[in-house]
Amino acid sequence: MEGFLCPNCISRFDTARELLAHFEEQHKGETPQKAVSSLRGILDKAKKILNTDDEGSSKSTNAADNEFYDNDPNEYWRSVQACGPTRSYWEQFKVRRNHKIENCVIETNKLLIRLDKLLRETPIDPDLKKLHEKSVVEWVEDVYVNLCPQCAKTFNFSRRRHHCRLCGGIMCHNCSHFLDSNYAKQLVSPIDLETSQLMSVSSPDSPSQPGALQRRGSIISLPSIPSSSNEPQIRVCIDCKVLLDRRNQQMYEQHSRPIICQMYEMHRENVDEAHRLIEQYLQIIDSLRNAECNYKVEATHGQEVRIKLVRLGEKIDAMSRRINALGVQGDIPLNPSQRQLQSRIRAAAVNFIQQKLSGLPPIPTQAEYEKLREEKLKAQEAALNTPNDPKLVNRSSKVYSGSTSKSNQNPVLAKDGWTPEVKIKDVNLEDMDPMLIQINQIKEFIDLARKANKYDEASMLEANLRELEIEYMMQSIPVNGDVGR
Amino acid sequence: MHLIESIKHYINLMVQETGVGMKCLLMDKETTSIVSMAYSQTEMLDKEVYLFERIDRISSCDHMKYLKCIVFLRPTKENIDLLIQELRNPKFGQYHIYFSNIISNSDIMTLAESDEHESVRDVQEFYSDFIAVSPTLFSVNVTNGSFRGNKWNPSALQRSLDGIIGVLLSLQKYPNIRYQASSDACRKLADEVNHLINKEHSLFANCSQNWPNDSPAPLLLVLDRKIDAFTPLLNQWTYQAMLHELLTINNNRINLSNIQGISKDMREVVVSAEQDDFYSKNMYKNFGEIGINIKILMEDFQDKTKSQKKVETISDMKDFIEQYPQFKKMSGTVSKHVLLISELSRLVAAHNLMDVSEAEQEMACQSEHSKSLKKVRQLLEDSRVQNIDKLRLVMLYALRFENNSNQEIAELKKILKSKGIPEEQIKSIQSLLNYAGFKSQNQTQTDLLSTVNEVFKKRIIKGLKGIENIYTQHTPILREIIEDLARGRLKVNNFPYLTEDRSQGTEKPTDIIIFMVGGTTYEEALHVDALNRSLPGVRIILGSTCIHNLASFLDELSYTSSRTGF
Repeated sequence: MEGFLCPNCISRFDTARELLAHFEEQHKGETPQKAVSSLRGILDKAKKILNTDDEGSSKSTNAADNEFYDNDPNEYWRSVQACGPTRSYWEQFKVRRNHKIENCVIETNKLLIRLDKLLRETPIDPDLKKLHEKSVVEWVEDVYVNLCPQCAKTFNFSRRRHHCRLCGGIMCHNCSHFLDSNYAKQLVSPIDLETSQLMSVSSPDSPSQPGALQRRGSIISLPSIPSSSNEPQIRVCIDCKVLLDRRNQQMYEQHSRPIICQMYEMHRENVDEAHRLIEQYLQIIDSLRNAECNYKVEATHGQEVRIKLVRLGEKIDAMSRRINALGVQGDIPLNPSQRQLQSRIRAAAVNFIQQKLSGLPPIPTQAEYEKLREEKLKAQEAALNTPNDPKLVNRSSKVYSGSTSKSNQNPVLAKDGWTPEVKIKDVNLEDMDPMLIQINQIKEFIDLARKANKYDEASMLEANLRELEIEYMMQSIPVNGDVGR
Repeated sequence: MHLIESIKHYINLMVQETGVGMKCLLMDKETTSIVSMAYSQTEMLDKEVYLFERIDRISSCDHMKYLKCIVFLRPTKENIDLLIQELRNPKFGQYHIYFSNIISNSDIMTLAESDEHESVRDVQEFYSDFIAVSPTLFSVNVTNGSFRGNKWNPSALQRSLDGIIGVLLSLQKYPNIRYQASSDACRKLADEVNHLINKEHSLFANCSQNWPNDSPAPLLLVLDRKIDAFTPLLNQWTYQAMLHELLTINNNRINLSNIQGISKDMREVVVSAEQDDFYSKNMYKNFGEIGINIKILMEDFQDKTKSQKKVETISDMKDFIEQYPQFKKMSGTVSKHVLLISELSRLVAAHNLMDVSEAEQEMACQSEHSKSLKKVRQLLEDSRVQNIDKLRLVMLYALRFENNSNQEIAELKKILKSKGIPEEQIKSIQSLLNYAGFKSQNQTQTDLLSTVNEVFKKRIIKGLKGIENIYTQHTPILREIIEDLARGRLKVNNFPYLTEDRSQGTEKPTDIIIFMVGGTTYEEALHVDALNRSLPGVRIILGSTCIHNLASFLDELSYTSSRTGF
């Protein structure tokens, strides 16, 4: 078997299974369903023809699984329960939404262009100003509109017609809104950091609120009487105002990052880092407990990681305290949800420290290590005497894996059961199995990598090593069976 | 086939698809139950979900645009309307919307049109429309009764249908369907399920794909509570069932606030097999065994407490800190279960439940009329016995000896009345007979009753003071049905196939999903769990409209009779 190539990205895979997994993971949705199913068909055929041994191995692990969960079927079923199917409506949703809001976006952009013209080129002379305004947008003829479209009152001598400077529509004075020039400038100017900060102060309060009130249909608009200050104001209708307010809100949201976000991000980085280190630390503890490494190297390394973790714990504690205390002493009382959010972040951090950090197992002492080593050697001897009882191997691995993470069960099994043979054959390198040479090499690499403090690589290599060892074990089973007979 | 794990997968996927950052989970009443049965709040906090909001209660003033919002809702009309309002005036920065069941295309379109602020980032269906009580038990929490007379309560029918479809999809099962022939309601529900499966063929086609060809197809069996009205009437002696009967479990929570002098943090306790090791090991054990186990737990705990107390050296201190989290967790568990068990013991003693239960079990499993009648009369006069238990006894008597020529149902009713039991409740005896008595049933019922296990086995258990023998000889009919089903011997006449084109009748299904219309009981859940352990290679899941104790079963009866005029 030479291996498989992914038809989409031409990366190489050793088994059909791997390719299929890769294809489903990486290229999900890239090709039409047809291609996938045809591919699947081919793969199935290939599988049948080759009758690959990974089929066999998967069956045997299944059997082992079954035995593993003999006492509680629920745990077995939990382990095989995959995530159910899902169905996405996102594409349809987007199409429909874009269709709907397209008009809105175009309208808003038009308004912004006009607003820009009004702001930049308006002459001071009232007559010229009016002309300029009319040139920006065509004003609706007075004769066409007899009632104010907003409040439905007739226009007469006292209730005069006014034009929206942005769309040219007609309304009465009471239904007019006014953009003050600062707000208008903000709308048209490209956002930079300073203005966004400026907006973060002004936006949620003053300008948008009257608009929001108007939208709910109140007819009276008290705040829109032009102020007597010398700031020029731009008369607009409610529709244009709503569109502009919405845009303002969007821009504000895009560019504002409250302090809590920044703090939370830092907090989260610490927590993630702690998770990584805990993983590493537990691995070190495991290898010490399994007594398969140089004690001094591992223990000092473990000590280093532990110190790092303690520091991180302090950082997490401090940062979550700060988040919790945010805004408590400010003038504006926090809203209840905000308060709850902050205290929950703190609670989660405390929980993390208590559950994960303070409960870490200590590094075994040298004496304990030696004791474990002896026990292990004994166990290995016992295992050698009855090499073919998979149950025994399984059980012993169960005992060990009690303290390790679940995913490590198989590798531990491999190491426990079969390492002695590796050592025996170590003596005569010439007639050694190529796979064993590989295994030994990787072991050397791991040591080197650890000494060089390259833990990522070491753990990657370890993963490789495990795979190799499992593979080797699978191969050697029939051989041992013969010997046993 | 692990119900809780399948829900967990979906919740994890939601969190994962929403991405990193602070998150809020927006739910409705039922999805709140769905989530809370799978994960505790602490576990959700670990997933960066810090706020939990209800769509029907969301406050209007709090804008928190820097939060991502995971929306997890059932696709009901009310929810869609509320969500539309929310999207028109969004309070959160992003919305990732997940519906717990199949949603109509038109609803998607309405939602899309209301998302003027472009705050929605994802819309998907995650099929999780059921409340996973345990790995093998689900409910859809119908609280207003499944029936109106002989007809379905329409909302209960819809909810049951949604629940079954959710289970089938999340477990990836494309089942053959069988139903109880004597019940029109079962037929109706089975039809609806079948119809929906055919309509959504594309979703189910994937399910059968990863099903190996040679193994039998999964089976959905729809049953009616009426087939066995005895079980919900009985007092229970296993931990979970007892808790429900005497203290009422609601979504794995028990309200203890009416116990005098209860401490604040114990007013509501959670009993979840997912989070509580002691409970998961003991929920199906009987009361005597639990007495022993709680003793062991307490002794273990006391040992630990002692060793914790003498913190003298620095290494002691270190050990203490290392063990403290487990210690704290353990102390919570211990005090919770001690409290629950002592409350149960108190109730058992105060209300003379031992004698009551003995009489119940005799009526359920034997048919010695005069002996039972004597016992019932005697207990009706016992001042310790609660009124509800008196009613329970007469109901069992009526159901058991309805056709006996010497029956004295009317006489017993009079006694009940003289004990101050309200007319309303006495009427429920007649409702029960209408619901599940001999006259209301056809041949199936009597057939089945004859198969009820009549072996009387008394178990002697030594343990907690005051409990020496516990009566658990009653076996629900459900157990017989499942055993027959798994052996391929369930009669096709009584339980016909709906989808005949897909099967022959004598096959032995290994993946079995039972749905009981009208409520199931924890006693039945216990038997399902036992069968899951004893039948090799067979996996059984039990679902129902709700999980009954006597009180809720009485409610069910009164809803059922409300339209029939009894």
